[in-house]
Amino acid sequence: MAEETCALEIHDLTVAYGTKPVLWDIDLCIPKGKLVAIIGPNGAGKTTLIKSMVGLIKPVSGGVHFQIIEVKKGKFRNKIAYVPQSGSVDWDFPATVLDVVMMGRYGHLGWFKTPGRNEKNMALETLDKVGMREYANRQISQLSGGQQQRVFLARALIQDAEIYFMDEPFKGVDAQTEKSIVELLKNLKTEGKTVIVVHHDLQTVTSYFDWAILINLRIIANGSVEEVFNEQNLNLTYGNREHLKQEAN
Amino acid sequence: METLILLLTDYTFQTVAMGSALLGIISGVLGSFAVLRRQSLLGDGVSHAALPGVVIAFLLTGSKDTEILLLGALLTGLSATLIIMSIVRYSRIKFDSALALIMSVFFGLGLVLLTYTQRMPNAHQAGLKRFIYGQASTLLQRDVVMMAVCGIVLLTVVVLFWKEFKLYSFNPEFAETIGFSGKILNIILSLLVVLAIIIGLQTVGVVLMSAMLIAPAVAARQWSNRLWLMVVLAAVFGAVSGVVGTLFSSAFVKLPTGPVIVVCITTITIFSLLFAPNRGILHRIYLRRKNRVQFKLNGGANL
Repeated sequence: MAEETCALEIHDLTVAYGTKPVLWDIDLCIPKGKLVAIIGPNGAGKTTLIKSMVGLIKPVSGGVHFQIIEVKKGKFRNKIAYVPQSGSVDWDFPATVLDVVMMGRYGHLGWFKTPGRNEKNMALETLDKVGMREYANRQISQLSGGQQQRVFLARALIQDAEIYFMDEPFKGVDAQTEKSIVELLKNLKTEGKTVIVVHHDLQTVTSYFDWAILINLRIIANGSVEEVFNEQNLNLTYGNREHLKQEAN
Repeated sequence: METLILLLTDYTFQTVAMGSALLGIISGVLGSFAVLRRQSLLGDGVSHAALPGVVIAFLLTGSKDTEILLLGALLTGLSATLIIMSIVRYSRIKFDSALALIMSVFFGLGLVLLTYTQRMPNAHQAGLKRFIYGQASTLLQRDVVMMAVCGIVLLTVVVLFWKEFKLYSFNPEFAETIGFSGKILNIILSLLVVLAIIIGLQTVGVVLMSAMLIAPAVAARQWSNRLWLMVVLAAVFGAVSGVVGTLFSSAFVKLPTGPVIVVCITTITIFSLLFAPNRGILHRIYLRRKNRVQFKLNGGANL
């Protein structure tokens, strides 16, 4: 593998819920400026991995190091943007689409400063990018699954981060929307940003992404899609889970 | 009419009405966040857990001052909250079970201590029992001043942290990733809710206090899709019930103020659940009917 600048490095990362390990001794270098897919079966630890990367889960051992940016604990992390699964929030919360998108600027504002005209204009522009401008004043409970996903995407875009972490951004999205989201992700890549996506649909991996991480408790493969996205690795990832568990125990 | 004017100009009435209105505003505002964070029941736990605190404070100091008794309530209320949160965090027991357990244990302890204390010579005048069902008529001017001061502090904190509370209530994980510590926000918000509950104990008592927290927020949510409007409406509903409740209980002899206030706010809530546009039950039934007719006209299946 050619020398590449890592956007982030992970060393000896182990995460467990109770006594059950979910991620086991992960070592990773995710190169800068790539569109990265994290692939693996249900329960393989994909979401856990992405949550550990953004600091939502405390690992048992090891850690995540950001190479190209400085991320300090407790400081406002304006350089990373996280898109959670859209099902993780209560969409009946009293807020408009514009409100939610503006939340992406809160990290830049810091404590106590209130968002103003500037933030509002930015939010409207970003909504334009995801094709949701006419929904700006819509109550969020009236959105479809695909629209919710695009609102979350807009909230991440407005953060103007260096690394984007997205947990299943294509879930519940129709083909048309999926296409436009992929377009946005590719634009981010051309701007030199790193985009890391938990992805489920194996058929689209080669056309959407240029880097793949295959994971099932441990890292099965980490490399460019041409290099690692092959049957052998997929079998290792999705095939027999038992021997992995035994090794971990 | 004359009696009404007489009543409205009555000093005691004014004091009690003022106190109840303040309570309505405070619990309406903080209740909104409790409801949106799906922690409505925590209020019930905290208020029940406040009872032993009141009695212990009296036993230790012998004081009848509301401030000191409420300080005791604050301490046990807070420790109950901490215990509930730790149980959820460090064991497999779920939130509702932990809450029910701690709430009844603390309330039971409170009742035991209260019964024991009632046999003591000067306990009766201390009026500890008023904290169970509340006794708004015992509100003194200085109590109301204290409520006002606390209220101003609480509301200032809410205004100051408005953006943070909104973000945290909607999506705590996202808040964390952009640097707003969920731990800190949770502590501040929970502390505010506990304080709001303690403020209401003298007026509506430990048993009914959670209604003051939840009902205005639920009613207000029906009428608005904006957080700020919901919070303002909750405060208005709370205040109106406070005043109307006091009015009713003063106009008719022997009606206890606290429960009447709770009946008022519940009436507003039921009305809102039924008749609010868009979210109201009647509106939804109407919409479904309308759709059914429309589908039929357009040749749809007979649903």
